[in-house]
Amino acid sequence: MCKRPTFRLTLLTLALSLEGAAFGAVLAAAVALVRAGEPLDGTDPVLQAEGRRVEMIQRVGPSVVCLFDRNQRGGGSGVLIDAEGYGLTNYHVVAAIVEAKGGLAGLSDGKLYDIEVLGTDPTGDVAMFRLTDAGPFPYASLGDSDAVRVGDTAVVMGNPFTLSEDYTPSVTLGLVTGVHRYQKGVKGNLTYTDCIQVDASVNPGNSGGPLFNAAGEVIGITGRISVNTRGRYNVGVGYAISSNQIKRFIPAMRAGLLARHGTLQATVDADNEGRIVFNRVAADSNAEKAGIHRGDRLLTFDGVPITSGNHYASLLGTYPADWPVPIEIEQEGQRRTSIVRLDAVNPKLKTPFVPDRDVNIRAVERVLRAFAKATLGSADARRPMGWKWTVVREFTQGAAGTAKASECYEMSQTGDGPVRMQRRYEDGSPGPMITYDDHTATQRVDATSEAFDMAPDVGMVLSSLYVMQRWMLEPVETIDLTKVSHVGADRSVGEGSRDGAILNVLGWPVGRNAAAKFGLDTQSGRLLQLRVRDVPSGADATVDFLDYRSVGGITWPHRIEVRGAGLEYRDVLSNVELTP
Amino acid sequence: MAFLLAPVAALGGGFDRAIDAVVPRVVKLYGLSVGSQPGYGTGVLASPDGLVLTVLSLLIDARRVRAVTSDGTFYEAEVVRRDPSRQLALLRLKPPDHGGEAAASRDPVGPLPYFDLKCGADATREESLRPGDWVIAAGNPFKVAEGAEPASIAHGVFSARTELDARRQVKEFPYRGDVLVIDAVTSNPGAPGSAVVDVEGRFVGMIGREVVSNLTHTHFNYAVPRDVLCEFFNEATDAMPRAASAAIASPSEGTVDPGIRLTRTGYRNIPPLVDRVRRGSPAEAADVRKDDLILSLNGKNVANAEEYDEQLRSVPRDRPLDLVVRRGRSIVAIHIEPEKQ
Repeated sequence: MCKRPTFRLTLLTLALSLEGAAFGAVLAAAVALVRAGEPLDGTDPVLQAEGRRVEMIQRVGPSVVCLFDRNQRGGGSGVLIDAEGYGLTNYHVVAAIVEAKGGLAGLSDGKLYDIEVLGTDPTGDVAMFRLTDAGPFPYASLGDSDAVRVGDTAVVMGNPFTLSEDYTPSVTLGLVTGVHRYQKGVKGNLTYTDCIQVDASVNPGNSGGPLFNAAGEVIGITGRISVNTRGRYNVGVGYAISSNQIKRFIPAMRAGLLARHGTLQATVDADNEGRIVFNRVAADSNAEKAGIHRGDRLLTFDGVPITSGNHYASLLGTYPADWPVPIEIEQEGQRRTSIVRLDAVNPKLKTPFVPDRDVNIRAVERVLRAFAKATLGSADARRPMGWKWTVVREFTQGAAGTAKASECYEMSQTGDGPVRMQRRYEDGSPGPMITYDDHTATQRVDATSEAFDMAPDVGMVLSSLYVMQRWMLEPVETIDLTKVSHVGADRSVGEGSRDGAILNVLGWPVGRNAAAKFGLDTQSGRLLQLRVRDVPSGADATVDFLDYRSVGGITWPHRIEVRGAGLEYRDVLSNVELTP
Repeated sequence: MAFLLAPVAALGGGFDRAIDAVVPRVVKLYGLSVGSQPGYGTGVLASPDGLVLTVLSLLIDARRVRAVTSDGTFYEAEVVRRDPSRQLALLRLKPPDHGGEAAASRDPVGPLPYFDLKCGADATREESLRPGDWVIAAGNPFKVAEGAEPASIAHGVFSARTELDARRQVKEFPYRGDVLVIDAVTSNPGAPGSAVVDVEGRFVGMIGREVVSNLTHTHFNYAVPRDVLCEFFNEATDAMPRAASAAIASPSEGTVDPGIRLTRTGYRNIPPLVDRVRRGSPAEAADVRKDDLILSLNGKNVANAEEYDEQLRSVPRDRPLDLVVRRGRSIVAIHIEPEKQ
């Protein structure tokens, strides 16, 4: 593309941001950018910077779509985030499409494609859709919105005034003019918390479209502007929902679910000394159960030091229901951190949301395919029929008697058979052999003893490893998924939990009575966490799968940490063999 | 080369110096709101001990004007001086009254980050700002920022320095001096009083009161230049308006001027409330009083200040005026004889 059109583009952008009589002065100013008598050559830094910007815009532009309802009316924008045609937009754009019972997306190839609405987040004004045609489609990647600073370049792309006839997006350029901003919603919905403020032109029709940084990564979805008596159009103050917030809701939306936001059911305010203190903690809330009381001082929320009640409310609005958040408080002079799972906010909806089972199954299959790819590596990898390893089990709390007692076992399982656990003492002599039968959920000590029920927490670990093995063994299409569903997102809470991996959570029945939630990393595809609940007894446990290493081409965890009611231990695996 | 460096600096993080300079030097103001006029705005810190420049608007007429600095500290702001001809005001920050504390025992304000207006004898127009240069404004449009949250910025290109008077059809506005025209949308509720700096962070002006064209209903995006602010800042403290003729915004020559000044804020639909009556004027002689609400002029109903101006324009110089006003609960008819030449 030759230089001339890009110069016009810059001029046009300048002109569009103006009003009334000053247009002439700006035209003069723009022309003045090219100083008379001093031609700019290709090495000029201004032209080079412009060239980079143009290149970025042309590279990411095709991922931006124009959204319409089925009758080609209304109009908003969206952005595709993977090659299969999954995309992000605003909830308020999709609400109109759902009412019309179907929608269309116009892509930069000039064609209209059918879209399917997936899950939605009405409270946070985000939703996902999917192009139902086969891909591959151009897509954009999501950036880190926490790295955005005031003064950074902001590029907004979408379909303002639905003026695009060929579905190529309109581009406006500006700066990030504020971060961590709060904009109140409507009846609890469409609240923009911790959002990004820009002065790039945002107008009706831009809703649901991407906000790009200079590198061409999506750092937000624009959906809101401040307006005054002039009318509902750009006056230099636009807002985008941050990409880091959206990432927490994508798994649930991909799975066709209603993605609820989280609440602590507790409010804070500044006391006379300016310290942030809880002034209300609802009874029966998870916060209360975690031991947080009225009067406790709030120090950090998810690792972020809280400076005001507004700051707390704004940050809180970016998390989903059930999200584990470390909360650091000062209580009676002592500092401590509790990890609290947020309670749910139920959005007020005109019509109740009905999750689509087919969309959910598709999401489950997608997760399992990613898991198989992450663990098997390649289609040629040997699929394990069985496994065998030595495990040193170190108890940090509970049943083995003394703390830090350790036991050593040789464990193995072949095909559908029972799990065998051969105890080895320090001198190498064998102890009892315990067998677990996954199907009957019972265990025996030596061949002679009676079968008795597996302790839920311990047995479930093995059952889950068995399930993992089956996922690798069987092609996704052959796995029976009737009792399985994608239940949303979670985060693995490690040391730096703000950086904890975002997980796809699959609800999978395990053993006889247990309900398990398998948490798989959205980035790597690996199984990172398991939460198990034994339904009759109510006992539950959390299992973390760590230290993944390659074993004959298969990626397998070498450390498994279990935390249950009164029981905590760590399994360190060695001599891992995955038998074909 | 310096000219070309300015736009380059702006591409990709180059506004940092300007942003770091301007954001800490503005305060968020909160005061009186009347009708559609917002009770919030922005001010520029002009001294380390808390002098604040802002625009002359109704919000400073509040009994208590609050100012919040960039670190979230609350102050009370008292009005030091008003300038109706330039539509500017000077405030002074005081520590908030917590009740029971003697004024003398409160800690002095400051030192606060501020802009040195550089009002020295040789500081005339801003030499280094040229058409095409970037400018950054910081303020609180739409009161997006609260407490210690940073002020919002806006960026644009300085287009021209020109006289406001030269713009025809502009709404009645007393200030006729120079303004800096900017191509960003700087005219938003809460933005007047924002500080404007160049890409190096040097103070160049302050966003003025909202001015709207009668003809096109477009807002004018401009800033009052630094040197004009200097003139105001350096004037001897004087509570009365500079010149009676500037105070009363007479629409044009050749029409009657009874000596009535209405409250003016630059917005539409301001009720025609009498703010001041000029001493020795025909209106004073006819006993027009402050806070009278003008209902009709020479038999025609007057709904707002613009209509009052329009009606007044059509009255020849030497004719009397018949006003009907509401004073408290009563309706009063006032007959004003023209000034004897």
